[in-house]
Amino acid sequence: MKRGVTLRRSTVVIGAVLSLALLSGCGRHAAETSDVDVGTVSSSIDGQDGAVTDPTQAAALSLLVDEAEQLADEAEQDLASDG
Amino acid sequence: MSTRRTLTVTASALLAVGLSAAPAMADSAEPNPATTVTVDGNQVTITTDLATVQNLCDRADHAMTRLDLATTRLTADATTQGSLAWVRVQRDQARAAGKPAVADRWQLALDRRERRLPRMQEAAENLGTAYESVCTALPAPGQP
Repeated sequence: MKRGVTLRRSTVVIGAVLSLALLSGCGRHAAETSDVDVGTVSSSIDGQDGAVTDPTQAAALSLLVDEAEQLADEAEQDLASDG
Repeated sequence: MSTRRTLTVTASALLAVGLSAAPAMADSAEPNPATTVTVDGNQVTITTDLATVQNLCDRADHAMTRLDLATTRLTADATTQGSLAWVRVQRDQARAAGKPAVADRWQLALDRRERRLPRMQEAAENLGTAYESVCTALPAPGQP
């Protein structure tokens, strides 16, 4: 299933930045993901489409999920070390 | 105009590569992270597969739950093993018992957890915002 999403130029630029972060292997670094402006990205959603399948949003979400999973891993391992 | 188009195509190509690095989940239908792009004057349309985003949303939901559980435990009182308050008690008891090496280890654990906690809270907040803006707009898996 494929759906189209209309983007603003600013979103495309954001997408490029996010993609470069992914390609450079920085996607799991907290400092990189904290720079993601989710509000700006979300402003590009095409409301008429009904579904948000914009890959720039997916890229932002991917970075945030990676960071959250890494932190959860660390926290769980640390807590488990208490015995 | 040509600069804009070049940028758009470049961004799309990078996005396709970046998204393809995202691990696929087994419980959703055949994610295909490839993207296509079309340019029509000032409008740029990028298309990707819905299942790819649904997979990310599944992971986001699970990650938020894990962070919430860990945060709840870390911020609990001294009766909850692993909490910051509990670690402080362990450190203080070790000091009182004349075991400075043990106390130092608890202090290191305390420092580590105190540093991580705000990062976890920020990550959960950011992920929650992204989840609200992206995932709540998606149809459920299998729905049109």
